[in-house]
Amino acid sequence: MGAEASKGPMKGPHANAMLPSSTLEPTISCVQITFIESIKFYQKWISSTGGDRCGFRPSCSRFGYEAIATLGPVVGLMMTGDRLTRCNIWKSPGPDYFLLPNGRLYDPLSKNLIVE
Amino acid sequence: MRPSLGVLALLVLCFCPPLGLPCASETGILLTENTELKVADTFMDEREYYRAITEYKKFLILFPESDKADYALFRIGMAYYHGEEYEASTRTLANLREKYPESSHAPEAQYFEGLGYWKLKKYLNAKIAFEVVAAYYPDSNYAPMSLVADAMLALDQDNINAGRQGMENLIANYPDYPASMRAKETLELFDQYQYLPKKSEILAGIMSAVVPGSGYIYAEHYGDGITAFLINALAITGTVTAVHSENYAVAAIVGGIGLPFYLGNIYGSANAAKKWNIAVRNELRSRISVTLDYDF
Repeated sequence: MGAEASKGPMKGPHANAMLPSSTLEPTISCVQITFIESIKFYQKWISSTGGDRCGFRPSCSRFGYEAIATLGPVVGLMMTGDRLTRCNIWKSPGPDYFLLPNGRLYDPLSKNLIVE
Repeated sequence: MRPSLGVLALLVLCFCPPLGLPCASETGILLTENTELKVADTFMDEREYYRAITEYKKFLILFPESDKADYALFRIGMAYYHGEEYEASTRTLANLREKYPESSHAPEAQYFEGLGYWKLKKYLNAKIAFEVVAAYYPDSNYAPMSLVADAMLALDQDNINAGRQGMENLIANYPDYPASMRAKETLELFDQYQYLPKKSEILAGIMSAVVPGSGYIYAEHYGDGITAFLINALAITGTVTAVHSENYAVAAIVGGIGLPFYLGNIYGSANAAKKWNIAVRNELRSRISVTLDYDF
């Protein structure tokens, strides 16, 4: 397999292109798997029926998935609860949320970490 | 069967191309130092940093004794810097300073090494790099720029006095430097930095723990505050009502769903206060940055 060209500023092969796939996958607990699978179930069978409605990018379910997978179930659920609260009718572009060309507001996990 | 004359002629033409076709003359170039650097510089100008690094490295392999070797090494460091590979950039630029201390690129290399450390959040290393440029290369264009960078770095670390001191040093040592004129205007902004309004993250969290949503309101996220209040009021009322009517299973389900929202409301309020503080700080920082015409 040839090295895939990076779309980043370096325009070279990905730095992790040669890493074995096992080193790239985080280790997760059973509780995390339960929540992650629940989110996957929601994304596949529930969310897909009503179309793309979330005004944020990444969407709330994706945000929850990332939060639980990377920060664990406790902090992940807390951040998901906060995100769902903020996904209301009053959200608007500003210093907190950057407006993307597709009309969605950019609100990644990294911008919502209290301790970096 | 006898081959016809035409077929014979075709066979002669195919198997004896020198007889029938004109010879293609081979063209090529001699790979000189300048040619190799030109290729590398072209890639660099086209922002093809990965390819530029390859060519500069090729130059260093083919012409290790060249008097332009320091330039090639410097450009490798700069390509890494622009390609946002800051670890590799700082390492290469440090290598340049060690191998070619007398290089004309040394001040610029040291300055960008400092910027690389800044990007990596290695603030102490960045500060040292800027101080070295200002102290050892005072006549370089990068000396006043390092003083500006050092002041902005101090500002990012909430060391307002050090930042102000840096600006005063710039004005005193380089009075004719364009940024020095602008630096005088920023001194007042540096003073304002000390009296920036702040929202307590702990207070916001406590407020939301007592009255859900109030922490968001305190951090001026009114819509989020109202939503948090309504969601939590609904969940708490539902849980309490279910407990009162001895529907413990319903209480557990409603409470279980409501708990992440309640905890999230505390977390989010503290985070909203933090975002408010950052927004206020960034606004003033960008005013200083615009006044100085120094963007980092």
